Amino acid sequence: MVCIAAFIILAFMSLSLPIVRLFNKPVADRIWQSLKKAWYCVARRATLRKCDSNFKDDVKHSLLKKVIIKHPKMVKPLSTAIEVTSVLIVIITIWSLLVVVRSGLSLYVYGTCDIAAPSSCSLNTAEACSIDEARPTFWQSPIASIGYWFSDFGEVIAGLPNRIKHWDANDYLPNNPTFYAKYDKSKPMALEILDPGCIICQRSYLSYKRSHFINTHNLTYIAYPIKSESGFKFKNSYLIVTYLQAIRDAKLQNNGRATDWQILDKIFIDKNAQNIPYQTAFNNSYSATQAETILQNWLKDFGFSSDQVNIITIATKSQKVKDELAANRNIVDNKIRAKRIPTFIYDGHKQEGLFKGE
Amino acid sequence: MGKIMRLGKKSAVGNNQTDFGYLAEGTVYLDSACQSLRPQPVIDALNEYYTTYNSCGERVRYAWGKKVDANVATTRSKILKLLKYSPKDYFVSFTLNTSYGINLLVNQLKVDAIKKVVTTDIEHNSVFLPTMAFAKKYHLPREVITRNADGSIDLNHDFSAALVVVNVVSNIDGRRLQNVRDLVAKVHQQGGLVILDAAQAVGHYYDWLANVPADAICSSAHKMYAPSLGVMVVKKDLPAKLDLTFLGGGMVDDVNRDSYQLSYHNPAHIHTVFESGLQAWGEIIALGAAVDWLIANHKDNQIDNLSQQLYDWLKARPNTVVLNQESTPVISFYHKKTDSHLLAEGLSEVGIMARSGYFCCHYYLSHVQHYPALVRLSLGLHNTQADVDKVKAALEGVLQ
Repeated sequence: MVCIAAFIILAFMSLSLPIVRLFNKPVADRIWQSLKKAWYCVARRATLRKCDSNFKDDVKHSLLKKVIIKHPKMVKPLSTAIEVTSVLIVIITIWSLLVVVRSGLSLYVYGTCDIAAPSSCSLNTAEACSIDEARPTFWQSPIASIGYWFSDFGEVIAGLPNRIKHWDANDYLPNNPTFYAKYDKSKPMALEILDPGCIICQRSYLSYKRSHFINTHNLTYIAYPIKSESGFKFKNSYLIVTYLQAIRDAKLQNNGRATDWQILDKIFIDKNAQNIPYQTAFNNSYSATQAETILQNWLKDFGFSSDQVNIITIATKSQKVKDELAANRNIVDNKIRAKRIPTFIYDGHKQEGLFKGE
Repeated sequence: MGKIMRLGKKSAVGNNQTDFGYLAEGTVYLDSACQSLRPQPVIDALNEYYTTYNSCGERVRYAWGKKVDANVATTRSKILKLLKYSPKDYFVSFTLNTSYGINLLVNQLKVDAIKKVVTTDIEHNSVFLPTMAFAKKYHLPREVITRNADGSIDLNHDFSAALVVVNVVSNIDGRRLQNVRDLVAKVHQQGGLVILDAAQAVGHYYDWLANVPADAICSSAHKMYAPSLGVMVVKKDLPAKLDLTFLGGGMVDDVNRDSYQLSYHNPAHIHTVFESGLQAWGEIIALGAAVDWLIANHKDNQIDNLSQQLYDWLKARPNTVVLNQESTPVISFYHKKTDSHLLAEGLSEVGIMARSGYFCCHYYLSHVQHYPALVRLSLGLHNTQADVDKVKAALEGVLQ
């Protein structure tokens, strides 16, 4: 273990060899020779052969020789400390390599280096609202944390084929899909996973609304309220999503355009009497009662009668809507495996994060 | 440098205390079994060669070359005189070291009259490996005799037509081949040949080795206070038993297209039989100075007293296993709780140079005795009471 640890340290030191060589060639040569010795030892260990050089002793003795004569009683504890430190260095290095590999693969597959808590990854490939999972910390539950770590690794590996596969939005459509514009079977399907409370969804909405995207694709969506430890990441998202789903199911027509999309228009584009964007107000100001009243008023504004609004309101609390939302969540979590919102599937690709237009 | 120049003005022989005055204060050298320190007169002799008459020897007509020839011849004589061999029966050749000398002999021996190879378990690899290779090459049996505790060899062994290669003094514990003269007589009586490895004998036991009638005695000048050099003292009838294949410059009187006339047939040039190519003239000349110095300083030296002190002290240390049966200038030991290599490195940190490991005796130490790596303290004529005191002080805390 000592020779492996020494190899690791020397390998890092060797990165600076070109600079060291400029100022002190003998030192650089010594580092290089030591690295070669260490590599020889590591290579033999890696191939399950005994390390037949004295490199391990050379390393240990280079430290212990300073104390053996003057402080002989320190030799044993110091020797143990060297062994323990070596083990730690090797474990930390292996762990670090695994983290790098896992993070790199995760970044490649999911666009975030931490699939359980994407918000904690500063390397995320696009702006998005993270779907962070609520998990115990390492100190709260070490064994569970390690288990999660490896299960995430497995998920990343399992997700590799998804990175290169052809994504077809038709494979992930929710029940009763509605479309931003009138459905045209000649146009390709596009699916967005969105959370009404997510600011990136709002910016994406404005972005594709300004682009030709909505004219060239049949754009539908799955409403996905992101969960948090205390419920939902955005406090009224779930309420809004139940209305969106109930409206879809009710099939009550007003002015011909899908009402759920009109509600999204209001949330993402309009502002209230206090000139506050509705999304911000829903997230920060409105209580559930206030939010529900707003939604009901909008339905009336869109041409629904009071009876129709009542039917929709009752439907939001129905088992059917709950089941449909659960089914949608299953599509997002287990089929698409989206880690961040919004996620778009169109033109054979899956894109997570802010929609940047065509 | 200034110190060397001052010492260089001393007498040719000097004395054993000041002739190592170039050593840094507090430095203790205890690896004389590998190579001894060179006293100032020896260094001066080498320097003098390089700075005043640096030239080739043999067949050189100019003054420097003639001086080289004369001094080299003197060194050959001094070696024979030191070991009390008659120039009528023996000659001296120079090589690289003891291993090289033994290989020169063993690899060129005519195998017809040899039926087996005999050596012992405590041999240095310089003996162990060439005998192994020789036996394997000629498909001869090789017998490895167990040495007695006092270093002697059981003479009841059958030495018929045997090539016997053994050391005179062990480099592990200074154990001597007590019955060396009887052994040589017995082997000769049974039609065999004896090559002695005297590497460890020439520095301290040259008197004791005197005129042992072996067929060849191989040793190393660098273990007798001279520069790095191999020394072979060879019976004059031995070259006839060789099939010479290691040939080159300096060995011939004449050469034709497909034949040559070797010089060694001329008694005056018999030493050339083992001296192919340019020789280390300066080192050979300095060996002559070393012989003078050794003779002048050996008898009055307290090396036996110092060795005895170290031996007794080490024997009394707890958890310390001393391999020696008796005090000799070569003392090997190990501490049951401390790695010997680490101990040697630790000693080095405080200025004490001591050897650790198996000292090229892997077979005996590792595979027969199953010892861990050892520490070896080998004293030389340069060592002083202060050296021993320093070693004892350094090891006091460790050997518990």
